[in-house]
Amino acid sequence: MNLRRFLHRSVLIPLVCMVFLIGYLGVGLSMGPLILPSGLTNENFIPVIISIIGILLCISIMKDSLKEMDDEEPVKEAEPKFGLKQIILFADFFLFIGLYSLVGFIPAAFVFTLIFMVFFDDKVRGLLKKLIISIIITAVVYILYAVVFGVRFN
Amino acid sequence: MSTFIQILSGFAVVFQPLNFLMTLLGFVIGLFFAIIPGLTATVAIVLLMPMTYSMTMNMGLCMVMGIYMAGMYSGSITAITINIPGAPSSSMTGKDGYPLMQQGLGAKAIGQSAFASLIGGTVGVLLLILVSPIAVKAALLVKTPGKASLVIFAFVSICALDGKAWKKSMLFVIFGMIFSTIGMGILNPTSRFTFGTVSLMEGVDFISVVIGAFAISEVMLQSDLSNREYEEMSARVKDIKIKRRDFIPTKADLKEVGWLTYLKSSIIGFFIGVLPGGGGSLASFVSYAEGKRSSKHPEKYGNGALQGVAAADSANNSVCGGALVPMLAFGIPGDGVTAVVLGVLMVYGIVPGPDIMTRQLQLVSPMYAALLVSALILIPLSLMLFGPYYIKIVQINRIVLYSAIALIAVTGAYAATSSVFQMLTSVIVGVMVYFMRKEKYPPVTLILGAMLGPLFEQYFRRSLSISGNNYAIFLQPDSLAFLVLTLVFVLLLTRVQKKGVTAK
Repeated sequence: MNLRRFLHRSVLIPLVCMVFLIGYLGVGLSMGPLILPSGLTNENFIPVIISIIGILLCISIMKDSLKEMDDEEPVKEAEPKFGLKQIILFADFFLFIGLYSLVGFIPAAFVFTLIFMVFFDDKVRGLLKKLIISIIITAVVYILYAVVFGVRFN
Repeated sequence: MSTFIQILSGFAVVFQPLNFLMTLLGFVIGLFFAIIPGLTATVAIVLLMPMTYSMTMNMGLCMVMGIYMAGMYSGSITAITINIPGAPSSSMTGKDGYPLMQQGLGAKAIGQSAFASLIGGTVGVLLLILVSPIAVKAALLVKTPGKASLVIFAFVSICALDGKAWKKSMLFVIFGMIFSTIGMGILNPTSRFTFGTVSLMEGVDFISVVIGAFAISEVMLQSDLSNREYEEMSARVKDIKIKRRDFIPTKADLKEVGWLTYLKSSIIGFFIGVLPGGGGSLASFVSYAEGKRSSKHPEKYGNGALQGVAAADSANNSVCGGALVPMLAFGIPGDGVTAVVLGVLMVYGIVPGPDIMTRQLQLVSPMYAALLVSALILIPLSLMLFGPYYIKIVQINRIVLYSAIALIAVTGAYAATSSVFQMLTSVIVGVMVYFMRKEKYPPVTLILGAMLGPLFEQYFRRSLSISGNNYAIFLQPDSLAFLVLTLVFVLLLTRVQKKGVTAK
């Protein structure tokens, strides 16, 4: 059995989901009986049922994906990459949330937008232009939410 | 005073200059809010509620109705142009609208969306006025087990619509439901899956899931595209010469969609709106599913079917009329927006109840009229004034556009919830959906699960509680009807799909 096939995204995603669902089922079962002594359903009733259905679905999706791999000739698709660019952009979202809690909206939004603009582009270029646009975007979004819509930021 | 005269007096009130101005203002605000991902008509009404304190009741209600109708319609604009629904109820519009946009037919899709919204909104209000007493009786026939079966029908039909990918759709429904189980219990005040964390006690907000699933994941998917690919796409749009008349559906378009689609979708939307908890999203899901089922060309759905856009938008705008029925008659909001509208009514001391739709009709008839006027000004206002600029969105510098969307989206999660935890949730959902969308997991089903999951749990467990855990309660006529409908739907769809494969 070639275990590397399990590293293919089409198998890996349902596998990760299944691991999560098993954990979720475990927590659900630890919450007590599904039916309370009063005869009413407990709060873990639906979670347990949906997690079992979910696990079965994950197994089935994995089976289908493995079968597809067996049936089809390996085709090198020009599928979109997940590289450093995406890692940085995702990290930027988390950085924004962290900075927002620490230093407030305006500096956090400015740093977030600048990083996003720099790395969303294919190449690192036009930094001054991006810096100015980041300031404008931050100002517009701040005015939109804080002034026009009355959202209170930290 | 007869009902007819009371309704007419409502129109007289709306056409008073200040009230009409408020309807227009509300419409523009609703349009603006629903276009920006993360901001919805609900948020607009919530934020504008304090303003209504200083207005007369009619002015306040006219503005709120303008926001409501525009919010339902304009979420489709970003769903079509950049595949990010401005409002959850527009998710289905993007399924066909965005492929149309990619084919260079964005103007046609936006025009069709507006026209369908106009028809749906108008039919919804007319039905509200004409048949609301009957609708109230019909809604009363659907009891708790029936509502649980209706949700099952929505789950199954939307997954069945994805054909071979139904398992992926169902898995996403499950994940949506899982999000809704975090926090306080549905029937008992006990916490679930919180691990003793205070932040998790507040649960996963629906808006966070929507922002993560649609806005953040979309922005990230766009980062996969190189500038060259995007410039090619922009160039295609650049070549399209847009005139205001391009938005007006042609006779051929109307024939392709068919009057029956508009009418049937509007009626579906209205009656789903009448059912408490139904709402625009469920209406557009069910209407889209029915449109595909009854279509001569179901294979076109998902690939740029005008009929799909029309089915979804007629239904979600028709909901506006339907959702007011349970809200006014029983004080049960049909969806999130009507829940806030209910709050506005309370501000003016209007207590919902059966009397309000009969003896006190003059209090709410301006609402009916404002809703109808809002529907009827959708085409001249939004399409003729702003329409040509919608399509320009893809021509904007992509780096500036998506950086601004990313900031607006993540800030929107905070704006809607005032919670840093919900901002974090939206990013986590965005990461998850980004990877799953690469494997063709449809995010719409995640939203369906998150939105209808709590309702299903509530109805399902209540039914069992009523029957002493006897599952035969789901065989009651109203519930059985939906279960049979689910079965018929799946069988018919499977047959249609098999026919499609054979034909290929």
